[in-house]
Amino acid sequence: MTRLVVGPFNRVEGDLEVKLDIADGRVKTARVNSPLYRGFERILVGKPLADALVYAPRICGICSVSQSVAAAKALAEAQSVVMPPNGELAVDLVHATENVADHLTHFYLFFMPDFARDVYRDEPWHAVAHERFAALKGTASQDILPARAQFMHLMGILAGKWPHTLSIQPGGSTRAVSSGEIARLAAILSSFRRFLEWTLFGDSLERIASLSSAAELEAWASEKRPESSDFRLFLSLSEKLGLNRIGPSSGKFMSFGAYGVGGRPLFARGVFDGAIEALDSLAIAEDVSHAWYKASEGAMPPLAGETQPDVERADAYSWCKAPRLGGRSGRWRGNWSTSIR
Amino acid sequence: MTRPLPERRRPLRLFWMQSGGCGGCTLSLIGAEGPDLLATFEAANIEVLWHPSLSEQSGRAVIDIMERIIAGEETLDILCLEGSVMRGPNGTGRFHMMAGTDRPVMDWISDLAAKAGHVVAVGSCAAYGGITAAGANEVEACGLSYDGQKEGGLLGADFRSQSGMPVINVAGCPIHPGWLTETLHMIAAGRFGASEIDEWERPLSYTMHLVHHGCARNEFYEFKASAEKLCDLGCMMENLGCKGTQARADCNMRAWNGSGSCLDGGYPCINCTAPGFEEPGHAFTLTPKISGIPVGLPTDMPKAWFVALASLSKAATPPRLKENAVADHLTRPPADRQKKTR
Repeated sequence: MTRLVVGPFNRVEGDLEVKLDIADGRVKTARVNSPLYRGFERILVGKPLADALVYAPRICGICSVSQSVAAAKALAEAQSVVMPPNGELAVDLVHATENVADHLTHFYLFFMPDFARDVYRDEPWHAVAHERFAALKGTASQDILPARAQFMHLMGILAGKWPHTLSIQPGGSTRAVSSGEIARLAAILSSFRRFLEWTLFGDSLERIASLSSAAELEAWASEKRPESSDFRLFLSLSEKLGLNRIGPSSGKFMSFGAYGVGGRPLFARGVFDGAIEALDSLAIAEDVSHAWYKASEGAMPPLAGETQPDVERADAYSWCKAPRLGGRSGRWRGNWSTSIR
Repeated sequence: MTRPLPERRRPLRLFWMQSGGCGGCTLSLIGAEGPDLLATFEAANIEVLWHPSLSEQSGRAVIDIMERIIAGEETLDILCLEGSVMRGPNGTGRFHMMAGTDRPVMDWISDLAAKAGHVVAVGSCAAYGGITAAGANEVEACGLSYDGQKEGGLLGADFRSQSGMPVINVAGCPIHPGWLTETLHMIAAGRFGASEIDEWERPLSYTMHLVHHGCARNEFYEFKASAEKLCDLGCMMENLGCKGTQARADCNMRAWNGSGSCLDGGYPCINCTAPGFEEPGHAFTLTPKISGIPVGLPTDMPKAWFVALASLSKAATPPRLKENAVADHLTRPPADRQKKTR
């Protein structure tokens, strides 16, 4: 039996390690380990309720607003506070800005640089990918950083600062928006749209949003050369490397619902596991049977579970709790907020 | 006749580590503007040996770089740490192991720091422990040269990098991108010396100021026209816990994300550049008071004077400020007496 240990991983943070035990050419055990424990659950114990809005965003510098929104909504529910519609809109805008920026950052800075790696140097497309996407040196990073920074001016107006705003409260946003600022927000968005249409997509956003099938996407991509836009280049590289065939997810999806006013989410809430089902958040539990925590009697819902580190626990190999939905595991895609390191 | 090209100086090599933090300082940093981050690195002649979010290398290649530095085969000019040093449990460092190495990250940090020309703590976690050290700090989080306000930390108060400088604490939660890019540029230019840091080893370029400086609510402060709840436009010192008059940073002189600041966003300064800010001893957005007078008055002003001036100015508050202070939109504009109304 041989053991393969891989880590640290770029590109979000290095805190991921994969241990594979291999025998007879087959993987016997695969352990994916998060090697960092900070204990946010325990930091919050005994604190004044509203202070959660200072601590929670600092769980993650990438999705700090998502943490703020989750904390504010939990506090609102606990105190029976309802956000006024304008507050919901303002909070949604801040949340959506972060979400859009994260997709952009992920695509350009965290994901695409891998196509520039040396392992692909014999591929006919490598020179193009390298020039455009090489980490720190590619031309794309020269384009994306200023575009992203200017887009984040939305945060300067709507949230004071980002990351780690305190503007998101159970009762809405602390930052009212003036009419002049609404004009500035519109101008910033419009400028960002130019970047998306000219550089990322190479077409109007309406056209991209109207593509409704894989066939339509392929037809659209073939209208122009791959180098004509970063999205077309990505599609072309994906096709050449067969990315659609390797590492597919389990096909299970989960959404908590997001955005929208008055309890009508713009992104629907639900679960997809072959068919669409309702999401029962009370059915979510955290399994710690292989994590460095004091053993619990089965997977526990976050409200009932305890976070008691136990670094000596036998058979444990990670600081990550494993989320379960109604006892089911699988690679759920969605806004997990229960797996706090 | 052609003149020979001037010789370009060797670039300074920077290695960036992350430990017990959120990565928010990196995310803030990539929002650098005027110029952007890569242009800044180029201008400062800094070469990124590795940064976990920005570099291509992964796995073994990263460990190789660290091992070469420690063996003295690779020059390390600037070591940046983002996030707290994780010493727990019981000083073992097992709460944060370096992936792929079975070795606590704190040991890697110590070894790399011993070789570095300059050591820079990026953010309040790396400087003093920060948010990760909040609560009972069961994880034994600390900074590079501090454990909260106590000198020591991982490397000790006497630590000096190869340049002879102590750990440079670019504190903040998160950092403003400009605080770090300026510091790095000054280091690279050989212009960052002992006279550039304050009593907590923070760059004076931004801690020479108070958050109060340039605060758009200054007129409300002058007349003690106070906000009563978050989102009111008045001064947040009296009721909402604002520490802008004591906090050391230039947040209201140097815009965040184009135009903002905490105070501009409608919430108080929580003094995030200070050691121990994570445990203020009171709810963050409530001002602790003794017989109606806020405890945390401006530090270098005699208390009696402050109270006397405050009651005087409160008596003279114009109605415009009184009204606007408790509104979320400005309702009453300043009036110009030159304009004759018919």
